[in-house]
Amino acid sequence: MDTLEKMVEAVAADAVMANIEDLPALAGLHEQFLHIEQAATDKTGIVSRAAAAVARLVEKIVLNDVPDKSQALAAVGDAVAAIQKIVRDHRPESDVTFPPALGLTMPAANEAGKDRTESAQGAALAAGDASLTNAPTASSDIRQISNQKPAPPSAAPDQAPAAEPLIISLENSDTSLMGEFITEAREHCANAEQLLMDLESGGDKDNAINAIFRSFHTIKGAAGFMDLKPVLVLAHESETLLDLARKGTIIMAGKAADLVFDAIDVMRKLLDGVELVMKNGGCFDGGPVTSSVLDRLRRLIENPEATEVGEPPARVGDILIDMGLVSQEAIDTALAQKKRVNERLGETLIRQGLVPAKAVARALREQQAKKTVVGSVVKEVVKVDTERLDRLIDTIGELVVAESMVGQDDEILRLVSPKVARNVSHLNKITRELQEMGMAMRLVPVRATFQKLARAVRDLTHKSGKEIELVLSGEETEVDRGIVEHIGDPLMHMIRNSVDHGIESPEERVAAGKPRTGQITIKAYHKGGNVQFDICDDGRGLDRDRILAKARERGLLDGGKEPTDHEIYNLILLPGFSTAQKITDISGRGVGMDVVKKNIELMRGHLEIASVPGRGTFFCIKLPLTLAIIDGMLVKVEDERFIIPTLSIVESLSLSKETIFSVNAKARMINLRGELLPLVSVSEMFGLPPAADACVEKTVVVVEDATRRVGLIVDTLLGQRQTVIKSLGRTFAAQKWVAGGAILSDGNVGLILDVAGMVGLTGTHRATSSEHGSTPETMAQIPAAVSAV
Amino acid sequence: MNDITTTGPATGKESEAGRNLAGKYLTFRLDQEEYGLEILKVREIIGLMGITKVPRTPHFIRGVINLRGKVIPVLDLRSKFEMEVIADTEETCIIVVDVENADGSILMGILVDAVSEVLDIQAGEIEEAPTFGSDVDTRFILGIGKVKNSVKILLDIDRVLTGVDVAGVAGPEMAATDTLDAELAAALR
Repeated sequence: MDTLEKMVEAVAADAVMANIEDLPALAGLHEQFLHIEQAATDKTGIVSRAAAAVARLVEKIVLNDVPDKSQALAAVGDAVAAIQKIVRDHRPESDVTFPPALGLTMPAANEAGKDRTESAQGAALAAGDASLTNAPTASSDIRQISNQKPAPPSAAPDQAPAAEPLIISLENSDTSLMGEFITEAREHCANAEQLLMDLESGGDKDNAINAIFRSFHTIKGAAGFMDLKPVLVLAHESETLLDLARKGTIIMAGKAADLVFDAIDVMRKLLDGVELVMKNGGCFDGGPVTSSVLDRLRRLIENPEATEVGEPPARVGDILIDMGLVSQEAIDTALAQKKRVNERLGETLIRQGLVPAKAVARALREQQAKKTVVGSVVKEVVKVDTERLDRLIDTIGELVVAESMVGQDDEILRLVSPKVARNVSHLNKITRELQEMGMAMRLVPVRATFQKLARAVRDLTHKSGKEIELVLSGEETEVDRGIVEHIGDPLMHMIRNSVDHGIESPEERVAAGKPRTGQITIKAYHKGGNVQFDICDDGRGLDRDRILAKARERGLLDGGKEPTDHEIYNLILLPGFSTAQKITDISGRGVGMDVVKKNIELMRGHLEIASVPGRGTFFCIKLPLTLAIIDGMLVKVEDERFIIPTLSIVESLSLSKETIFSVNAKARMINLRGELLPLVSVSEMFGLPPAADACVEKTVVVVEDATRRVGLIVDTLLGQRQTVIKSLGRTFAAQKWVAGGAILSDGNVGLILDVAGMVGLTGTHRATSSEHGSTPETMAQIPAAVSAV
Repeated sequence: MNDITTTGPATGKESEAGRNLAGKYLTFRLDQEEYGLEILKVREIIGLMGITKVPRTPHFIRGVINLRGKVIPVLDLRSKFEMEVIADTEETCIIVVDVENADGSILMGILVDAVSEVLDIQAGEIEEAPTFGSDVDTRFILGIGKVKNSVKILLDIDRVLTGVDVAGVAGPEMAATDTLDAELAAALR
């Protein structure tokens, strides 16, 4: 009995959590009930039978074979409660009531059971059952909630949009909840927008519309509670439209979808208004913002023009054809008949004996499976104040240092007790785990950023009259929160450029032998400890000659030298460089690409450009996985320790007299396999006092920045370290040779060298700043930008 | 400097400065002199710990320390006031202060010979900073507190640690950072 009880408890928990959209979970439930049926067979007949009946009902829900899924799911919950009573509380079966939806034949004693004193719950269950058979439909429920405006299609004309006073004033509202409401409503807007976009790109229609409906519904409920009339009205009308879409009266595409997009935009404006009122007091008239969209919503609701018919993602007929069971003609004839007889395609086919019932069932299941793939799994999330999160991560960082100080302490290491050693290593393990978790907490998926881009492309496409398809991949790629916040603008800028200048007009494209619809691809992925964003369009590509001419005109190039393609494309990254012949309201080519580059470099990233004339342009942004950690080589110079970022290190070698040359008796060079590199002594450069135990054998670390290579003379290499970068703060902002500080394992601070800055220093030392690259300058701004973790 | 009492304007009455400055002060010793720091500016007092030198910075910047995961600069007050620099003693400690300037506040450590006590200084005990002629810079001094028989020099720590002086640490190039970067940098931080 014990196992059975456990199983029932488990299934009860799952049944409570189940969601009609979550097909995998429902499938799991089904499985569980079947197990219960098996486990209960020889003990109590009723449990076994009930479990089997519930399993059947769950299957029906999965197969969409019940009139109202949520009611059916409620019945499942009731049935589980009944089973629980029998199994856990050892009630006689006459004492419990099973919902009639199960179709379970109950013993006659059931009636008697209802009269007993403790059967109050049973009665409640029975009442639930009544609602199951005789329940109002979901939509009429909603109408009841929104009693002030029932807005069935026929009622709409009575309401003139201008007549409504839509003033937001927060005099009677609970402001403490308002902030939360705004945040939540904004999330719902973003969510609805995303779903709407999924829908347009052929996602699961029913689920998406339902979810959008729910978003508006939630906003409506909360707005009613907060007494925000304009928000309420807008949410209500949008909801009505979506309800019609749910019922199939309106097809959620084209104009209707545009309208919902607009409604979301207006909703956002209203929320901004509410926020403003919250901050500054006074009131906000939502009327002007909402009237147009409300009017359009009502007109569409009143007169649903269900002309555009969207294709469902996969039709049973198509699946059957794919399975090679029937021909297209058979399906067509069956469809024609089906319309007359008003039955399902599968039924028609089976009736005609064209396909076995089993095959239809399989096709149906496949159809469901396809839907499941599209529907995304919702993860449970908790909102945490970012400041608090940062503090937690800081504290974890301190714990890591403290742990290593204890673990590496000489006295601890001298102890021979295996128990202490074991405990210390256990502590170490936990600390590492905590550190990893802390790092992971800084990471967020780029989905939200991509979503904004998708929306922008949609709008820009309309505006520019071009046909563009945006392909996004790797939305789930996780990157540092700081990066997500700052990658959005550069990406948006590049997308605008691609839409406005990259992609040609449909006519031009056809003339060039390309598909009418242009394509912009954005891809995010992890590669070798970096995050990469690829932005690729199949437009006309960069105009190499025009860029070159413009650069010559502005005197940006040395006359004689023929620049490489790479150099030419990088010209568009210069401030104020634009080859655009006309500036549109979307963008002017090149304007702002310097800002893009700057922003990326600020995040310690690179931007690469490639382009093929007539074929398209390719941008690749490489960014570190996190702004917080740097991989570096710890080196010792006299008594000081420094960290050189591994990215900048080319190689290291021990210093021997034979390879050194001196120039003017002062400057030194090293011959590295034929390449002459300037040598710089870190100790001399920093004027460090010689250490007591001066090191005779010196080491050269060859480092490079974007333009040059230099050999740095250090004393010893202490090994590679992954360190958390700490900002040194404004105080040292102008010390361009230092990129930040790192907490070393002994708790002291180690300085992270900025190689570009170091190379810059050597340049001034030798007073031969022949190359004036922009890189050292921009790189040096990083220390100030590095986030203090 | 013990002769200030004789040179100062010993009015005995509550001065304007006194009324504004009355309150609790953390007093510390530097050479033979006693200084006072507004207690609200003081974050904590820590014993001497490993200070990492930062090369190519002014002499009075002793370096940076790890204050529980935060890297903060430490300024040697003796060196800053151009007093004789001595070896650290058992009593040497770092007072962590909140320094305010135009861009907000930052934490900074100041190295002092020894921390004495927290004193409640009444308005009547505070006098305006006297002038000593051009030799002595009094811009850093809020006022002079006379408590019992001793004299406490009340420091304007924001003045000591910011403005011209931190810019001095940062060097002249600091101004080159353009606003966009500064904004971004602030946001990233």
